[in-house]
Amino acid sequence: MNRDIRYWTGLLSVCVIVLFCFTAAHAASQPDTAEEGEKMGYRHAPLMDDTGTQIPSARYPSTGPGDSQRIERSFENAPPLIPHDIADMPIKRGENLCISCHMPDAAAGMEATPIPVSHLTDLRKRKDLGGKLYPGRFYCTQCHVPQAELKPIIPNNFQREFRNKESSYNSNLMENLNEGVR
Amino acid sequence: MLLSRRDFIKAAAAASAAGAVGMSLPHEIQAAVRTAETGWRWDKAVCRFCGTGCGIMVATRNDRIVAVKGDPEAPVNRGLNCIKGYFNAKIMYGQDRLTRPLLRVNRKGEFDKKGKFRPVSWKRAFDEMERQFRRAYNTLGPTGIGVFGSGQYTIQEGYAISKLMKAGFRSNNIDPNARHCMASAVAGFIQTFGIDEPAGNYDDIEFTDTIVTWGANMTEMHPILWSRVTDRKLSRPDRVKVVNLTTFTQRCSDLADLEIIFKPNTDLAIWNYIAHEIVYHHPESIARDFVDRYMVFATGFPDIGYGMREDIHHPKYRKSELDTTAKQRFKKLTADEAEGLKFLGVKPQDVMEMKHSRKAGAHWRISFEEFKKGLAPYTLEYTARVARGNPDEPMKVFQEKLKVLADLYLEKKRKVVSFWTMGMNQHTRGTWVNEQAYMVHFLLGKQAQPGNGAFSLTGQPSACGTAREVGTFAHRLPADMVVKNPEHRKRAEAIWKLPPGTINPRVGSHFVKMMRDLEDGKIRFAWTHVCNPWQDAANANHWIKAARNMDNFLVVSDVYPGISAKVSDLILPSAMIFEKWGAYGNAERRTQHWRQQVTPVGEAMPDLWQYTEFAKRFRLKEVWKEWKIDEGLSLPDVLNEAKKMGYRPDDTLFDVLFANSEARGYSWPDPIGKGFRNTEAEGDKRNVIGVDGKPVQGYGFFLQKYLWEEYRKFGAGHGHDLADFDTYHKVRGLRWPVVNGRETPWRFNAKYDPYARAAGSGDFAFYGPALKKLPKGDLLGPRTREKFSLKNKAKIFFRPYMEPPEVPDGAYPFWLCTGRVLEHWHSGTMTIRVPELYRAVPEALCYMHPEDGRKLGVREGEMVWVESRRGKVKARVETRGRNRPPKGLVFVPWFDERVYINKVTLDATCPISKQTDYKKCAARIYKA
Repeated sequence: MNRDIRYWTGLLSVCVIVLFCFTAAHAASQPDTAEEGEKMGYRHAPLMDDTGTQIPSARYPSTGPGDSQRIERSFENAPPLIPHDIADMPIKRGENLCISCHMPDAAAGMEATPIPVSHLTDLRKRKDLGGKLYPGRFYCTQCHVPQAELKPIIPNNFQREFRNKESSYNSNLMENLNEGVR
Repeated sequence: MLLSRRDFIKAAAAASAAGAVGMSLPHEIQAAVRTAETGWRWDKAVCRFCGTGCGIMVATRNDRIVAVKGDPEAPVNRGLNCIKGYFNAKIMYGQDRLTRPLLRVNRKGEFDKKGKFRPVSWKRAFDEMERQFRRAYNTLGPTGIGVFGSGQYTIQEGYAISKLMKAGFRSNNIDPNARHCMASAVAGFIQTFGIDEPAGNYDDIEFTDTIVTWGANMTEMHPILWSRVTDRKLSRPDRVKVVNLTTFTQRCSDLADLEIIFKPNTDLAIWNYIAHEIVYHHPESIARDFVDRYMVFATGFPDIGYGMREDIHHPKYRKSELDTTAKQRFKKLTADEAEGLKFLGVKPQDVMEMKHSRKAGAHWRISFEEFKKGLAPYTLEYTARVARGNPDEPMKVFQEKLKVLADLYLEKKRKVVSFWTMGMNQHTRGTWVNEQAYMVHFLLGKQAQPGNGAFSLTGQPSACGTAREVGTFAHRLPADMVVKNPEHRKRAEAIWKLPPGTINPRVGSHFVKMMRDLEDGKIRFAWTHVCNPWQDAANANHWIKAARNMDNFLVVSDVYPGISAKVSDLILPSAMIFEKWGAYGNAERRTQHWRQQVTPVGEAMPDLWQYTEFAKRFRLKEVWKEWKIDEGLSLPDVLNEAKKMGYRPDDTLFDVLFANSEARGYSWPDPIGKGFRNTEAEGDKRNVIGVDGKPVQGYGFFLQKYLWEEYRKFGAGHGHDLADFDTYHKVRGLRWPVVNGRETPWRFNAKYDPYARAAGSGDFAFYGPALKKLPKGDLLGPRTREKFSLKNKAKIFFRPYMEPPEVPDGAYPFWLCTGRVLEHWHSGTMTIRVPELYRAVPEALCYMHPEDGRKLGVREGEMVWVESRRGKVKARVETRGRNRPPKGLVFVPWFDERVYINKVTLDATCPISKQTDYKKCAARIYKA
């Protein structure tokens, strides 16, 4: 019995010591700023020390233009996102590979998303450009962006709502442009 | 042989295009307006993001935003938005929206600076805030409190908080983050024109033949304006020329005819080179009549320091910082500097003592001969040697480029617009370089006309409309008035119905100074609005410590938990843009209003309501009593005067400033708001329990309309005229001054500006009233006591080239430049929460030259440390991306709180404007 007590007392004191060390170590690691440990935002490294900064490495899809799947639009007439690799497709004056596939005449044969009528119109001058691209839309990446293969860093509760089935993939902007515009 | 994918696409495209020549797609642009059977309601609003100020249409259903489209009626953007603009639709719906006040408390629920954030009621939050405010205010007085304001305030918010601070608490410690973005532009305007904001407007793009960008990546930062530039360029490719002056290759270069990569800060030398070409080699290009009739020449002191602390051994500086901070007092001149400063008679290695750091803005008239003498060193050879930014570019090629640039400006019949943004504003000589832009345009007579002008673009959606026009700065009052000027105070006191002497005449602490004051314990209560100061202020390690380790109380009103919220003591959940009524003013002086579209989320409440509710807790007898500011200044007790005006000492600031009889005259409901919510006026369906512990029922009057109508009294008849509230809800914005219902497209030009016409001084009148009496002198200093009037004239400044206070050296061999990217807005708190934008650019990268990467032994995608004398952060290397720096320079954007780059940057400012230079400091890079 005494042996048992000694045993248990010994074990208990070991536990206490371990616990104490753990607590002390924990306390010592407590930074002077109280923000740490708060799970707010997406930076989880301490503000004063960037050693532990973790940034998941992002990979953009390597699928070529012909092999990618269209991405559903974010909302009605939201600019479509780019589902394929664009790393080797600079857009420079006199060189725009996007339009070579996406202009409506080319798109059908390429199975690419065709540039819609809204882009073949000069809305400033209210002029139909006869099938030509409005030059103000030449830099496609001002509105259309590729998507890295990553989970959202913080989810978004926006609720998608399409008023007809087609608009989840297609533009009907020119029909709706003046809707609600007073 | 296999074709590369690129070849394949090209071939296929050519083939299919050939088969479809002449194809045209009929469509009907004027589609009939369809009323939404689906229950969607569209209403006009303004984009939340940049200073372009695009009009958007917002669709709502069931009290939620469901879509956004470009407003086809908006003259700015005509139906087009950029990627961020479209995603206005989703910015309010990030999962971690702040929905309840959060206070740091201990286990007993008491406030504790070292406690953890816990949700509290609005009442508990305001009780604590009131207690802490009094603790600072009653012991330190009006200088012991501060407000970090914003260029993203609605106009009404900015106006209300300015009024509360300046008329109520008698404190001028309110300054916006626009200090970081537009202050040098403002100082340039005030010193040059005597009045703030651009002469021209965006239509200049369609009128001009030449677009020159100086330190402005418009493709990413003003995408819709760049779309207009692209349209102009590609529609007249032979006539229209585009030049991109920048310190690294970015997307504007993809359109430009000419790209000029210059060494940081040498824009000062390049402007002088152009002026040198004009004055020395092509005097015939000077617009003689214009210059003689409307201009005077001027200059100021060069030995003005770099806006760092005057105490160069401040105890809170780290040892590693001291060699840079010492430059505030003494700077050893380099050979390049000494040559550009030849008029001072200095030699290389001379030590310049910064004798005029406290008189940085002083300036005086000089003769044309003196002006010419100042420009003498800025030859093509000198300028090219100093300014070449790409070490791999042959000197001859660089010289040739500068020559082409000058020729474009000088060509007699060529119209030229120069655009700039942060590159010229975030600059330790930002005011100077802004003035130099006007110098060149003035000499050539290419200013204030359609298609001709030096055009300062603004960064934030209401840096112009709110920060500048309302004057939410430490030195300003609405409509370009300043607290230092007794006449201006008198006018403000009259409009605000204050007893004479209420407004504090002492300029308050600017944004950077407020951070320093927190570090020094001089400010003990600060309230942050619509911005993220702890992520956006340079040299951030100091300010994090000041926030957490000093005895102070920091309140942050915000919508998402950014870094500023995390370092604060109390977080107040704010309503976002479409959850409130508001107005913004953009970079072309266009004021645009919108209505509240939806109910705010959770218990979030509009900032405006937060300010007015706080005002309820203070009585006149506590604030309008005598205050001793320091040995030299006491604010008088104005309570007796107040009584004569019908006020009682027990009236609250809310009663007097916001709910007076005039305010209550603007009744709610109002026809302009039919069918729309107004949380401030009538509460809303949530019945949020307010700061008094009772459900918020609203004030019962149209607070936003009252504030607008009172605010516009300041500018009426003074060149800042605005239309009435209702008008803005019927139009797509108007460019002020709005006189007799008509907007003013080009200011100072008698053809377009009624004020210029009324001045009767000919075709132009630079009628701005500020700083229009100057002594005369030479390049070394003023020589007369007497001051001479320059009514209706503007100034052509001579400003020399000087280096920034920190340049790369052996220990820190790289230039570090920071900035934004297209997909993210500022500190990223809104855009990172839109998955599409996050995935488009998921992290802030360190853009560098591939050869620098090789030398450092780091490959694309590997992590490096970016370290300066002040701090270090980790970032991933990118060598092939959208930004392609020359050897020796890296670019790291600041939107990502994990890549907290402002720990590395230097808090040196333009000594005149107090705007931080985020574009240059020295760093070392090594593998992480």
